[in-house]
Amino acid sequence: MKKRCGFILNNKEMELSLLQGRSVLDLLRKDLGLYGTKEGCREGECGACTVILGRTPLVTYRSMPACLMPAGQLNNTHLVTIKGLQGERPNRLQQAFINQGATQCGFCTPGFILSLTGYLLEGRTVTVQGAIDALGGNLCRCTGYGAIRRAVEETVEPLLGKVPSLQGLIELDLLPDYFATIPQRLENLRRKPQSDSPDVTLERVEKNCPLIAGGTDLYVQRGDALNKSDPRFLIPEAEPIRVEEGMIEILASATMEQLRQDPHFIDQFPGWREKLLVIASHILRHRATLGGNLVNASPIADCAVLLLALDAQIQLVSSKDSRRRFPLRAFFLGYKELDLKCDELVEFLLVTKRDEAQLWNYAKVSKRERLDIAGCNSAAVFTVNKGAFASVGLALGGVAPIPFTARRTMKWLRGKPLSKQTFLGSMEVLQEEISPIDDVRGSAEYKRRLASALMADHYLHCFSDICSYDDFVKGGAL
Amino acid sequence: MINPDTTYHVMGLTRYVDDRDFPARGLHCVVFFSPLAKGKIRDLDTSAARNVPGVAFILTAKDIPGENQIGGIIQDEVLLAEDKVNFVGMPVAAVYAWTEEAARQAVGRIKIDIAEEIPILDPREAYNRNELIAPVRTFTLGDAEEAIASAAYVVKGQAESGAQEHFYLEGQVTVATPSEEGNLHLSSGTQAPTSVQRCVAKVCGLAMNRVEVDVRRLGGAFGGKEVQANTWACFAALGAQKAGVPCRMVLRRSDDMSATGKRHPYSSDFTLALDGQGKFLAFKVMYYQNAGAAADLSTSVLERTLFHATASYYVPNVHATAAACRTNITPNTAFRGFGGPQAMFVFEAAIREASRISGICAETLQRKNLIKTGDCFAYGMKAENAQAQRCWDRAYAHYDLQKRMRAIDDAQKKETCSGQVARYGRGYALMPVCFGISFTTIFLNQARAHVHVYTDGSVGVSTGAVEMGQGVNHKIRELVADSLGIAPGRVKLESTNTTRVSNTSPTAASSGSDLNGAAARMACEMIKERLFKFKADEYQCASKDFSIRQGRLYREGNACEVCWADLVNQAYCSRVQLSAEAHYATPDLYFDKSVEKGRPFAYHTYGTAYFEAEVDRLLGTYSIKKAYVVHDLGRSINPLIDLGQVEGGMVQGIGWLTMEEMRYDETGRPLTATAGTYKIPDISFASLDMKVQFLEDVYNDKAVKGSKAVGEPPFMYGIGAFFAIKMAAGYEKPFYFAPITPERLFGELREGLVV
Repeated sequence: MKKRCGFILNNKEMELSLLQGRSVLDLLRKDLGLYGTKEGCREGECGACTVILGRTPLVTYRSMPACLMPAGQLNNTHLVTIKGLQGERPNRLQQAFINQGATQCGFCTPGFILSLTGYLLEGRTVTVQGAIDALGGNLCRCTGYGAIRRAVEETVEPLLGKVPSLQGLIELDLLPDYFATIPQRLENLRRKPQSDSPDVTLERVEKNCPLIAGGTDLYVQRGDALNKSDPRFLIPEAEPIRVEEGMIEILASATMEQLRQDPHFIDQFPGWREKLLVIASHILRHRATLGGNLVNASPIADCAVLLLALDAQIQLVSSKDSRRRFPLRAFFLGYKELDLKCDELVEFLLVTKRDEAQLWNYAKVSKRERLDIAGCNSAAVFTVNKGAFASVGLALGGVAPIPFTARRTMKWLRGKPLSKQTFLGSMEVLQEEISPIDDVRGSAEYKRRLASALMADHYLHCFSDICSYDDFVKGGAL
Repeated sequence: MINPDTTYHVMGLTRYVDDRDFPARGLHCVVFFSPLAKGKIRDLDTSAARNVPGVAFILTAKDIPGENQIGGIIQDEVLLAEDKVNFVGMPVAAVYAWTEEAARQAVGRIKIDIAEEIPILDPREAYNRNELIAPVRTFTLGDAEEAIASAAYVVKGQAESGAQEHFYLEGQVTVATPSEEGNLHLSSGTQAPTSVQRCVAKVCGLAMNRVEVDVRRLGGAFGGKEVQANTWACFAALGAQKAGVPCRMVLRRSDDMSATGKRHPYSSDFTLALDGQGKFLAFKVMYYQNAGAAADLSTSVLERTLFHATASYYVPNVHATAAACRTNITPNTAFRGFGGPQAMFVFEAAIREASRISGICAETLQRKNLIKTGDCFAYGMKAENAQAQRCWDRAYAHYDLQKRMRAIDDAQKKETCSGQVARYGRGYALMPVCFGISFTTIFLNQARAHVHVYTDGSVGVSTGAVEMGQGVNHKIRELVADSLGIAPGRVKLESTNTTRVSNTSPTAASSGSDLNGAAARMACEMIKERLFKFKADEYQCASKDFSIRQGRLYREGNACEVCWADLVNQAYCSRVQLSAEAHYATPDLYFDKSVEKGRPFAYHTYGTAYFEAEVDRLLGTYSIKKAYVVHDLGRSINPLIDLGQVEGGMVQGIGWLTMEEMRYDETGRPLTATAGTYKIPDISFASLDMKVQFLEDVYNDKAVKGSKAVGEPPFMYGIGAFFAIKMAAGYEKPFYFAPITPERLFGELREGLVV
């Protein structure tokens, strides 16, 4: 069934009756004839279809791939395509791409322009590295990225170290004037008689009705079916991560990027933002949610591994409004099997808030460092008391049918002194409790030995004064 | 002048084939592919598919009005499977429906019953079973056996390189529109409009003059749309022909990746013989090329492998043999470098092996043996105007390489002395490139151009070149403007269209601007000649007294009171022909296959790249830190475009040997045929310190305006990244297997772990 949906497309108010599940990419290209948005892969892997989505309050703009995005989620938003940046001439960013030869065949170019514009609109301090990282989800096969990097440098030069404002970006010829009118227009849209709201409230969970948070896994797995469907959506929250009673509470709808940028985690886990860069890509992290990553139940899920090591709790809510809370590790029962009833939803996750910075590490090995599914990944959190391990959180992906909590190793380590012998010994224990299999991400033997290597990486990262790489080589642990 | 196309690109205004409204009364084609690599078709059931609402019809082999044959060089490939399937992804049936969704749904309902046979996936196995695409070829120079017998060092080894997916951002696409006479107009994403025209004509049973192919631009191609575009154009054409309505064929990424051919994987055995000082004496090599299930361009690719067997070096005695082996994977095809990279990889591996055995460092071996003017290649051509040593020496001087390499060597020595293994290792490698320019199929070295001068002085140019991001249109625009003495802004490049320029060669072999640019300039000279004669008659002087510069006519160096537009208009009113067609054929090319000798190349392009890599020996991961290049372009027509070609080609080459891995399971099913599983370099991986310098004071008298072709040669620099990684890994094992994915490197680092 089609539903009404009101949003602003570039500089134009739209009131469309549309199938909620239709991908924004198909909506733009096939229904609205906006051909500047390109179809590259329909997997969120290439970034050719990148758009910017603006939501109230403040109008928070984020770049994201249109191919994995259901049109039903456009309600009350500002959707920006390449056409929405168009003046009579190329703007400053577009001119930089021209000057540097950063476009060859041109097919990927609108996506790059939007990802970079989206980055400048995020309301964060601009750095060259940040701008480059924001292009991590956009593939170019022609240029080798050299010219693109030079164009990025040319563009962001006047903004370095600053947090650009909407008005500032307009003045720098990086946005068209009409952007200044958008906050008011979105407000007007919101006040209008409600469009049919497709958002699901927890009470309205129904069986057999697809429920979409970010859609980044679902649209890859069954995009054709979803495109014709009438799914419902988790409501994205502006502030999905908060501290309550000594716990950091993360709503299931929190995106991976919200997790990466969260100040509580950044304080508690040194290097948090940098380490999490290897998870998905900038544009995908704006859509992929924590809840989605968990319920997809992949044995290699990045966030699952991370949260398991942090000893997270999960809270589920049912259609009858009853709630269950238990350790996340009990959520994963077997391959693609979860302790989740068909009328239940993941409501939030809880991680203990600490005031001091923790010793921790996250490492992942994949063919490409970023935006690739790991062969193996692992996270560890250590607390130390008087030269011995007080507690250990350790999880690995790719070594078992589920995201794996290495409980035997964790238990074995507890109370043991911080020493090379302990480190080496723990790796033997770990080997006994993992059971990787051969698949396209790597052979079982590879993953088995990678698990040891990742363990060594944790020790080298957290206890570099106690051990060296050479110790692990000579200790025969690798 | 900056390429004006780029303005449209950045503003999202550029239209590719599928970027236009498609009529509701138009058909969408989706293809049903073989799910198995080899077997006999027992039954194909399309009845359920036909009942899907919106389906118009389904075509199988028996429905093809013309010939079910799309083979080019060798006629061995059917468009639609008849009684057997030869690879996973082979088209079996084509569904035509009024919406793409309906066609896709219908494809899901087709059932096929195949008597499965055991496929051949390994080229060596195919060779042993005599499954060859064509007879084995051998290039010889001197007497390799004799030289090997008397050599100080003889090293042997095996090298493997993998398939590479083109990953053009715009997938394969054609829209076919029928005319009232039953002729077909195709808007196609092809590098070879004439090839599409010929192929469609044959399959549809039409004369070639009834098939018009128009190509505006491609969203990347890299060789993947040279022959491989034909298949999809045929499906669009068949639908349009049968239904009399437009038909759209757009491959989805996952279909594109599983059904189209890749760069050929090679498995090779080499023997390199050296004297005590490191002079190369002899090279013996056997290449097993994995051609896939049909010939495609395999024999030509194989030929170029043989031409580049000794890479950038002079070897007096050569015995190089190559076999195109028929297997049950997608028919492999052209990809930037076209067999050259595979050959050079083997030779560079042989150098590393020689260095390992002899103790002479690889750079010494490389420098000592670089090809010089007058040295003979195995195919009988002597190197002319060779720049290999100049590029090499210039790279050393300009980038201070000696010092950089010594710093890394010292760090390694220190590590060895300390007895402590360091987690991170640094390594370097130099990679010289010498690449022959011309189609090795001699007859393809021809091009035509049409130049129209309109009465307002604007100029329209049609050539056989296809714009796919390499900037060929803009280069031709600048060449035309330069030739006519007018501003480039006056010159428009038309689409590539078979009714305007016929019998085109593919835009390939790096030759697009060489050939088509030369033809366009010839056409301009013809027009100029007529204009000058017209003025000479008026002024009663000689034609040669005139020239045009900056849009003005000059007579013996003095400006006349006539600007370009007036000159053109006056000439028109005096009935002077203002259009010209010119034909260019590269001179002095010949090759005698009976003895495998000749002069197959107009010239060679040279360069040297220096790489530094860092390896994390714990995790088996790596990053490329530096790539410093000195590249010989002759006199660049457009340095910004050429820089983009060098950087882009190099990063593609690095990708080929590092992360890009096509995996197949034991039944021949591709495991990495999606964007999610096949990884190409991203901006983070490619954030290396990349510097490119063009060799100065060079002029190439064999190509247009002293320039050199640039498309393919830089790809092969990427080979240097592989060897820099190997050095950084720090083990002394003779493994030469590419791509060196983190998994493979991890295995090699921990000896014995076979991956």
